[in-house]
Amino acid sequence: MVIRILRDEHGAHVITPHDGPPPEMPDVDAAVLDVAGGHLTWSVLSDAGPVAVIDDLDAAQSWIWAVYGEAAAVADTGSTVDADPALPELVVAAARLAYAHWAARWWPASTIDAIPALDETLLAEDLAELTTECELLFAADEAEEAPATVPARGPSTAYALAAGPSTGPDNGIVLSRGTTGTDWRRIPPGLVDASEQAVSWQVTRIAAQTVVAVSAVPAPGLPTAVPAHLWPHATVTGEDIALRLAEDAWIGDSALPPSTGPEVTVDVHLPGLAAPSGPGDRALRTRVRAFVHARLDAIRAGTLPDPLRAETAAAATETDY
Amino acid sequence: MPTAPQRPRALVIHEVWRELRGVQALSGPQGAPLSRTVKLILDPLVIRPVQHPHCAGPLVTAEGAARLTELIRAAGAVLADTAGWFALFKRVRRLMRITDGHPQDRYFQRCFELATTVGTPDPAAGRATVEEALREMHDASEGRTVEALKAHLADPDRAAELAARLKKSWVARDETPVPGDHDDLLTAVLDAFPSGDPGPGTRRLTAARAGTASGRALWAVRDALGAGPHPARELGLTAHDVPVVPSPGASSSGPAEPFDRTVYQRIFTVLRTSADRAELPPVAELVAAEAVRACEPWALSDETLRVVAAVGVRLALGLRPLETGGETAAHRAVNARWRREAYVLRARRLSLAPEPAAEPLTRVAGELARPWRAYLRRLWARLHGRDVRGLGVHDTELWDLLDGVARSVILDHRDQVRRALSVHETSPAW
Repeated sequence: MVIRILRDEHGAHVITPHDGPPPEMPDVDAAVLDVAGGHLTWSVLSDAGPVAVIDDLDAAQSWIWAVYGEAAAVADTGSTVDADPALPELVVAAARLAYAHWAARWWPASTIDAIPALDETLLAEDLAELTTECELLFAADEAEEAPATVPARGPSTAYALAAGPSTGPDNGIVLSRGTTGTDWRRIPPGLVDASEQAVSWQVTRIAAQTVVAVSAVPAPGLPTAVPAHLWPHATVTGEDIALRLAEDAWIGDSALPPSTGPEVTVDVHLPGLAAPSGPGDRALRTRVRAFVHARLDAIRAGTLPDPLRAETAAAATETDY
Repeated sequence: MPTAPQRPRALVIHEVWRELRGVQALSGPQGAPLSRTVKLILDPLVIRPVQHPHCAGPLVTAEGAARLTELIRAAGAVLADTAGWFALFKRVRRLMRITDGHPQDRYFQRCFELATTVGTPDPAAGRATVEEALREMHDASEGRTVEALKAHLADPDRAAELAARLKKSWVARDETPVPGDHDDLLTAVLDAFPSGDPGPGTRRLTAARAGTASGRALWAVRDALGAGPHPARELGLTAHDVPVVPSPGASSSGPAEPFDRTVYQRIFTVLRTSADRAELPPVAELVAAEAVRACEPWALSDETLRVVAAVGVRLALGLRPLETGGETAAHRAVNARWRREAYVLRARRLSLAPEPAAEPLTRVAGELARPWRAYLRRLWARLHGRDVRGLGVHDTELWDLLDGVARSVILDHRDQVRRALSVHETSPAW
């Protein structure tokens, strides 16, 4: 594999198997490790080797030779070399560790799509073990901490699938309805089902008013009590609606300006998270979901080498809700 | 300019390490020496880069590589014995059910010492040696305990006497401004990082009493240190407009701001974080010294440590986690680390808007707008720990210290965001 040595616009040293500089910000498929002197990024959807972005080259020299080879470690900016990892087994472990960190945050748990949530205790065990295997990548006093304590889970409710807005105006004329998904980058994991069908909306004309009702399917394993600062909002064609947790769904409704047409856009998100650049990539989410389904199927078929413990447990979960 | 061919130092070490026999206990999963083996054993005790400068740095020349190989090969037997002792330490530690401290941190150097002085551990006698060493390292608090501190300050007469002493020293503080503008020197020190020698700059700052100057300025002066009308408050060192006399205190809970912490809190932290409490002064002396220290500039006794605090202020006020660049080499290095963190936070779904509307998100995000507060709180705690033990900061340690504080602040922020965004966490202190 050929790799390129570049300098990005901020002066960081880049080692990449791809043409051109890496994206400024990671997307939902990026598995990232914070290592001595920089970070390593894989795409969970690709078999390509990692991209390194290094802000402290001296510190990173403790591992570049192991991950990319001696030639890459001493190569000048602008040059191209053959990757020749001195410790290929470390590269494999590092990719798994990055993947485990990815799974802890981006695993698209969904009741609708039959993707069970990962068990956080098992995932913490995977992370701890892999962190030890990758210790060469971290400076002596800064091994990226696997979450040290596993939060105690409160009681959770098995939420029924909301077939549509479960509350809201019963009477009136339905002008339009639809379903949509969420941009995962705009909401923390564990709140809303990751499916593209998780959010339902309905615009109704009632007593000379145009009203929209929104309902979102909770993520599998959502506790019965969620701190108020984590209650998502829905933006419907510019109107901000705070959602609340009803018995089996996140719900909210609001009057819309009379001029609102039947076509609306519904965007469920958590206020307070940084706004990502550009709209979410639905096709990318679909690929991630397909990737996860394929992994779960392969685990069930016994053909996936080295699944995470948490994945194996999830694959054994009954998904016929 | 033609440059001599260079090789990664870590790779050279790995290659010679693979030749050694019996060093598994000091090796990582891929057979390379553990990061702590390099940091705590190879660098300070075997390679000693100060004596062998061409063996230092991330890349070494052929000559440096040859010398490095020679040094490590020559130490092969001692390293194997060190590994033998370490394996024994771990086994006996398990049997004694000791769990505190990181075994590599605590035992590596002791193992090297035993390997050098005793040699190969004898199965029977070695175990007794290790048991004794462990008992000494873990039990020998020699009365320097939190219980002793609690008992000492629980006596109402003693607490009242301490409060009176604090008040008296506080009123008697020398608040005379130290003349001189140290800004250029502070800038020069920060521009020497990460690889230059800050020594000349720090020595001149110490001679000019720049640490005392900034510490006294924090007691009262408006707009001191470029930190607004209430500098000590703006810097996160006190919740008051100007620092007030600290109280004796009787429990470990209390203010987070360094200058507001009680004497109890300050000593408590030292006792909790000390690996070798037996080397501390007795509790009564610790308390008496703290009463003096608390009324000194920066609440630190050693001028060189106060100078580090002044350097820290200059660095901290220029940190821009949400932007890029920076005024000095040190600022650029730490800000680059923050930029890396911004990427990691995005990749972990942990990136907060600059001003979220709901607590605790507002508070957590707000720390990035004023990064100097968390920075200086952590820096002060580390300097205080050194002050109590009578340790200074060596020039070669200064960048590690300043950079290490930045790293802690960054990881602490990441952890706080993670907790604030966790659905499952039962809500803690906010």
